[in-house]
Amino acid sequence: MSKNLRKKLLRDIRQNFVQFAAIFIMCFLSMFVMQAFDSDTSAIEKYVDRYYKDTNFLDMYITSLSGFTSEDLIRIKKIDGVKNAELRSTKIGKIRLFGTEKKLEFNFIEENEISKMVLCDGTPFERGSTGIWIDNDFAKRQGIAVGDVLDLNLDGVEFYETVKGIILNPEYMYFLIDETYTEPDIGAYGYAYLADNEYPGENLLYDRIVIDAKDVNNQFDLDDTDKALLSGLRESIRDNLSISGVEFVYKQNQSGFDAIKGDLESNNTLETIFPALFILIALLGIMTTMTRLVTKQRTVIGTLKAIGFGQMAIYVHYMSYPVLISVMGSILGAAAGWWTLGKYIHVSMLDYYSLPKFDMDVSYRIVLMIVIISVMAAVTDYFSCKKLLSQQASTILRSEAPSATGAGLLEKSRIWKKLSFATRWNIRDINRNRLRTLAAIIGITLCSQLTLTAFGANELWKRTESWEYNELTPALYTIGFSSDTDYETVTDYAHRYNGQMAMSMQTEIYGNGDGFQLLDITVLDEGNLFRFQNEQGEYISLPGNGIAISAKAAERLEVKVGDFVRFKVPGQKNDYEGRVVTLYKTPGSQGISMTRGYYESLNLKFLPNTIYTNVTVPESYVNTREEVVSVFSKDAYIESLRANSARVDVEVIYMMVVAVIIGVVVMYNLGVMSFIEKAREIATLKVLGFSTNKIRWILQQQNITVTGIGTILGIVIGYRTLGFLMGQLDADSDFIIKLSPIPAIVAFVVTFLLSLIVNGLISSKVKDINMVEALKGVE
Amino acid sequence: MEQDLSRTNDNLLIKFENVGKIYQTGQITYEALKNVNLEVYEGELVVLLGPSGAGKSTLLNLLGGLDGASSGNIFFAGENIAEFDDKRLGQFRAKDVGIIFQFYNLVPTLTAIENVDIIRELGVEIMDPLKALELVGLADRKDNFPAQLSGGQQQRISIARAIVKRPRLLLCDEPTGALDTGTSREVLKLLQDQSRVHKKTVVMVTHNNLFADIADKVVYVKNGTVVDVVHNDNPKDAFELDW
Repeated sequence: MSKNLRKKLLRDIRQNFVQFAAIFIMCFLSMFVMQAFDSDTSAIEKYVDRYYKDTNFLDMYITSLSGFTSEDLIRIKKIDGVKNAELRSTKIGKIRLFGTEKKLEFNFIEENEISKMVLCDGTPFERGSTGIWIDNDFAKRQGIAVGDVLDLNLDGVEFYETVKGIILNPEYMYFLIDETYTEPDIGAYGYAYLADNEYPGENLLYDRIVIDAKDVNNQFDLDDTDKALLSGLRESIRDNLSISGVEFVYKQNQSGFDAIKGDLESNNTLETIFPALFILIALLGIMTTMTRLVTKQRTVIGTLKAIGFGQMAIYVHYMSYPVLISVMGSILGAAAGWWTLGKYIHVSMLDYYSLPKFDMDVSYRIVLMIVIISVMAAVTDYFSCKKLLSQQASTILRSEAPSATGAGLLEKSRIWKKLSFATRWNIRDINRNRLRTLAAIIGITLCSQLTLTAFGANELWKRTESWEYNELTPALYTIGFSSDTDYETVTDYAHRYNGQMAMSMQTEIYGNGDGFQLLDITVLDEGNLFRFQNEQGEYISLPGNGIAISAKAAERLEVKVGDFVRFKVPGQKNDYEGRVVTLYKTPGSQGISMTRGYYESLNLKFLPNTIYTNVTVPESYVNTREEVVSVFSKDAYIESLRANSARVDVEVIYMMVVAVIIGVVVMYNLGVMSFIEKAREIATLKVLGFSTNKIRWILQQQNITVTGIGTILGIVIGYRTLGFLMGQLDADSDFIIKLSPIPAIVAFVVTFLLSLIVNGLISSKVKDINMVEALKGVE
Repeated sequence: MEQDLSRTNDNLLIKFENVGKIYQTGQITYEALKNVNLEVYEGELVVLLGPSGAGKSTLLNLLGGLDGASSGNIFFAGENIAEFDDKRLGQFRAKDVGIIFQFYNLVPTLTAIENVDIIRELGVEIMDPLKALELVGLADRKDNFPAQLSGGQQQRISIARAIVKRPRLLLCDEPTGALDTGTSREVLKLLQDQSRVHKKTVVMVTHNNLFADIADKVVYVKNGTVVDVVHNDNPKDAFELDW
């Protein structure tokens, strides 16, 4: 574009600052949110993929309570489709550091060619070597260095090992050492690798084999072919192994892989929904602003055409306005998103995931999105200006006849005559400016929707604490037992602590969908410390004649009440089947639940591994009693939930800021535009003798109507958005979307207050309107 | 002030042959021009006179390629512009036609000199924009925006914008319609000089009969037809006009 047209463009933008600022802010917010999430989403995808590739991350692993032998390994290695396999024994033990004991997961290995360690310090692992290779995060937090001699305890045997290396391992990228942790506490507990000859006990039981598949090419971004290959491989292994009770875990179900995929999915949802909404508002802004601008510049456009400017040159000139503004807004928004929310999310993710390298990144998606926004801006502008620009120069230079649009059919009805002047004036104005009114309603809807979603999410999150720990599992203490604890020992504890026994395990469950889902099975003995609620939040009892299923598990398994689900039980060769009798809602562990009686009626042995009790349990049991692996108090759970809640608070603040910005920007922009367009009519009313207050009230009536419609729509849509967003948060979380009236009231009050303030500001200009100037006719 | 004008085929610039223009608005058809025949020669100052709605502006629009004819031929320097497509018409306007509007039609967000310099962007050769402003006596106001200038000054900027590209044809649509008498005389003088001194063909639409006195040729338009063409062998100087 030439120098003079560039100057014109910049001066026009300055003259219509409010309108272009609104477009700028929407594009800014859109890319702000997208970049904030994408800087971590795309980066972690890249770094995890690289991590998995560099370390030859496992494709599958199998476990067996009875253990694997070298013959089993040889058999698996011979299977077509298996590239390599390694025996491993994984056990949770303890490490004594400065007088306190910490949990440590030991891995005894022969080789390390699959899921290889990344050496941070020390010497590399070799087959048959002595010493221990310990988790880098744990070493850092606990002050462990290469050469230190560690005091360890495993299977009741105390032993010492010298630290040979500080390492990271991809299998521990997301690491919860046991069920007492609801989220990772990096470095509070750790993991370690030792050669199998270093096992301190008598007989080492290899409880797992890790497998590298031959033709699975992709590491993190598995496609359907990879998944089908793994599924086929599982069948081959099952056919070749003679032992029963083998559990298969595909790489996509491995805890780290699964957690990060889940996070990516929810981030992808957030980085799509919100930017899309902001772009929608920006495009509406472009439509209203540019339609008004070209209408206002009708004579200029006609003149430019008349003096010889080609149609294309004029199109390019007018398309440059929104393109320039949207590109500027998008780029600056992306930069701000990176430096603020993006950095915050990055730091939060570092609390969850342990990788050798994880920096923020700018992906092609951001560049592509900026291009898409600018193209959409140009196209929207093209259609907004086309009607005028495509006309002949002589036609454009003639004044446009005023629109004769009235109030349509309403005007012909009897009601019309009964309406006040103000109402009729407003109805006609709305009808004449349908696009602008629609844009205003959408903006207000979004503001109210975001407010409700923010406060609703906050309320649901806070309610979860009470729901889970007061309503569903009110027990003050939960005792976890090691898997080899016998029934009598657990029963003894249950009697002593007046507790309710439960058996919980994670296993493969099959429903009506393809394949299986890794979900939890909970079997409950008699008691009232573990309860269930239906989707309406009413208490229900576990059925005696079938199973109960959590709503999310039912969704994942594609089953409903009356259908059957099939499940595996670790250590058992056969599959078991149960009819779904009832659905329940739970915020945490998703899966199926049943009574002990029903479980035993399937010829299965009830082997409890958890006790729920209201009697105080000494936390020292974890260190002093071999069979106790965890003692967790309700207070500790609540504390961990509150840590999460603090993060939700920050997110609520961000969403509120965004909601208020959208509200103010849209309302002020459209309000100013509407006021300018109505200046002549307002001046006429003033000339006729209408008082300033009377005119302001007429304007406020329209504003109240439009705000009312937008607010109500926003509250209704907000409820649905909240349900959708909460559903996307995490595959294992679920919420009953039942809110108190407070979020709706807050959304209503915030939106209305903003609207009244903004309209008050704009309509205050009525008293300053220059009747003579306004009535001259041309803007 | 006599002008040496020869009206031969060699210096025939514009020729209208049975030109008609019909406007269609919904089901309403309006015939703005009917079978117009007209010849305009190089260097002539032609005044189109007629009452409101007579078809003067339509005639001017067709002359300048702002609109297309519904029938007939319009020759400009031997080329039938009635057959031009939009692109050719645009090129024709950019190169050969300077237009002066009743309400000046300056770009409000550009300064005086920028409004003149904008013509450079049409890709045609132009004189120094400051020189054009000097010719209309407004070089000292070059950095003023239109809103900072009087109506007469804005019209002079508009003339500078029209002449900066040295067009063969200057079209003026009621150029003094929004000006007072004194200022109108100055503007008319500038236009007359374009014809006499710079040998440009000037076609001016007006409803003021007095302006006929400064024209070399007066074309009377009524009900969409040319009802009379009068040659004026002794046109007056613009400053001699009094109304």
